[in-house]
Amino acid sequence: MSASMRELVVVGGGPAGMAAAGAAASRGVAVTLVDAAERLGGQIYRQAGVGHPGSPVDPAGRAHAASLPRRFARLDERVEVLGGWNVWHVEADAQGVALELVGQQDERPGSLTARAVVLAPGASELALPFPGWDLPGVTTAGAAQALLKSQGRLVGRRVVVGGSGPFLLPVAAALARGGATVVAVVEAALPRRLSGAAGALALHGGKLAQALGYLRTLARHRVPVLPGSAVLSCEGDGRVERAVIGKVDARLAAHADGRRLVPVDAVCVSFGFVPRLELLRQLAEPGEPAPPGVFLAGEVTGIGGATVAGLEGTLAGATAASYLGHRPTRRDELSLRRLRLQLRHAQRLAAALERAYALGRDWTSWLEPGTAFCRCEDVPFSAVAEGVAEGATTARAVRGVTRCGMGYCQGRTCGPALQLAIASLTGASPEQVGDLQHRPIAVPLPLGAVAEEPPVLPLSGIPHGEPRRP
Amino acid sequence: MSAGTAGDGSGGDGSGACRSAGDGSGGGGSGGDRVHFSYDGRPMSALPGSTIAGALLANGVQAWRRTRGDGKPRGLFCGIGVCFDCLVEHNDRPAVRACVTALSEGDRIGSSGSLGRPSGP
Repeated sequence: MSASMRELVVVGGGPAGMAAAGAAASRGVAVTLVDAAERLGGQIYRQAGVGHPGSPVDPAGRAHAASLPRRFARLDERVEVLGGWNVWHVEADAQGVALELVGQQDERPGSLTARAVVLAPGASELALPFPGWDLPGVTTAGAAQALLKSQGRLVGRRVVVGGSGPFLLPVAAALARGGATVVAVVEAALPRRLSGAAGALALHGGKLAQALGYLRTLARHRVPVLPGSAVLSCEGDGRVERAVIGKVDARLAAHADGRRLVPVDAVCVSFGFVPRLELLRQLAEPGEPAPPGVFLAGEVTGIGGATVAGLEGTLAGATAASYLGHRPTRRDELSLRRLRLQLRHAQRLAAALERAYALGRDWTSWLEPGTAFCRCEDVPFSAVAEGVAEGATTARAVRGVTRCGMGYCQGRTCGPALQLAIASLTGASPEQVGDLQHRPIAVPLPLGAVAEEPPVLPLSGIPHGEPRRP
Repeated sequence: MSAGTAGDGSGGDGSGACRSAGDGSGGGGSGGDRVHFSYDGRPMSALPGSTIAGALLANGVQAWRRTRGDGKPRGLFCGIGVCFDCLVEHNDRPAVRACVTALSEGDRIGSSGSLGRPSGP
């Protein structure tokens, strides 16, 4: 084993990665935690930008800066944290794992080797296209939340929050608390589906209280929550100025009547989350087991939310510790048994929410022929539909004939929507259609970063009891 | 030509709450240090710890790139570095994601064309 080889690298500084790092470190494993952001937290516990004072008039930024759960607050004193590094490639063999990195800010190359790795790359949002979704001022709900958390800024003053899923509520509540006029929360799921979600929540007291808290905030700010509705289109001259809200049925087909035009300066949309699979796909094809020494935690194993992710992370960190020869104590084994029970309980809620917010197939009926489908390459929906009509029935085939997913984002935005649209147009399952997540290079990087042998990142002296400066 | 829509740089939202994107308040701030930068040659400033996207929005710029096919305006979309809509030119480095790149004192930010290069002649 080379002297520079780490014992365990955890990729991802969100709830799953932090929990994995903490659990492994507490078993005596020397852990290196890598994340693209300078500060730990991932998307959900995103902290304010380094040096950012938060909003001067509303302390949202400050409040969020302290949002990192206490058990993670001093994690960087126990593990080596490499913030600001993207992992763009990973390989594994019997000796261990090799990771190629590129600096988030300066694009400098680096590399790491380790005996084992926990992949906790998290998820990105599912954005479904609709007419006008590419106007400036239309963002994902996550973008609005990130802007508020890291920059203390509102995405707009008159905002519609739309799409489907439990994530709409905290985003709308945060915008309302921050001073935006939230015109409406537009939720595609029908009321009877949502009562199923409420029933499942009743068995999870903490989550129920959280949801009620968001609803109370929305009620206090007189924000209507409109189930069975969707933002069908956005309009404006060079930026979003109006949103069309209308009713949808259980399959998401839009009703022709009862549409309403509302003036807005921002629209935030989210239809759920998509696991980030690039690194996993570099190690295993779908259905194949991951190589030995590779552990997974969090959204990459299926969307479950922060609670599930944290529990999976603890489990993955403990399992990795055992794999690395750090034998569990009797107490460790007892706490793992308790953890598995908690995880099953949390997974039941995640499954119930997934059922309640399952997307219908007919959202493609909102689209017009000219609706931008691929935002990077300006591929209209008509091109996708023509490609399917000509016999391209997988996401990769449609990408090949349309350039949908071949632009800068490499299908990160349109890929999941393309998968669902093809399934909708052909009647196939999304699994049959396949996705666009095969990416030998997980993060775009300049050629210079691969031109020379990347330097092995030196150990930063953690964890040897040296507190890192914040 | 710039893809941006310039704010007028006057006034704040004065609502006693968070500042909104495009309100032209320049990011607000009661005293304290500000980070100075330029956007397509125009001098601007923002709070320390700002991302490039946060700083542009704070200065009323909502779109700063055009797509290569149809020349449509683009700005912030995913906010977490996934969608590549928000590319800017950053100190002559092309195709930099504004939403995940920190702003530094003296930075020169340029609106960009489809390939991340300046869209101007």
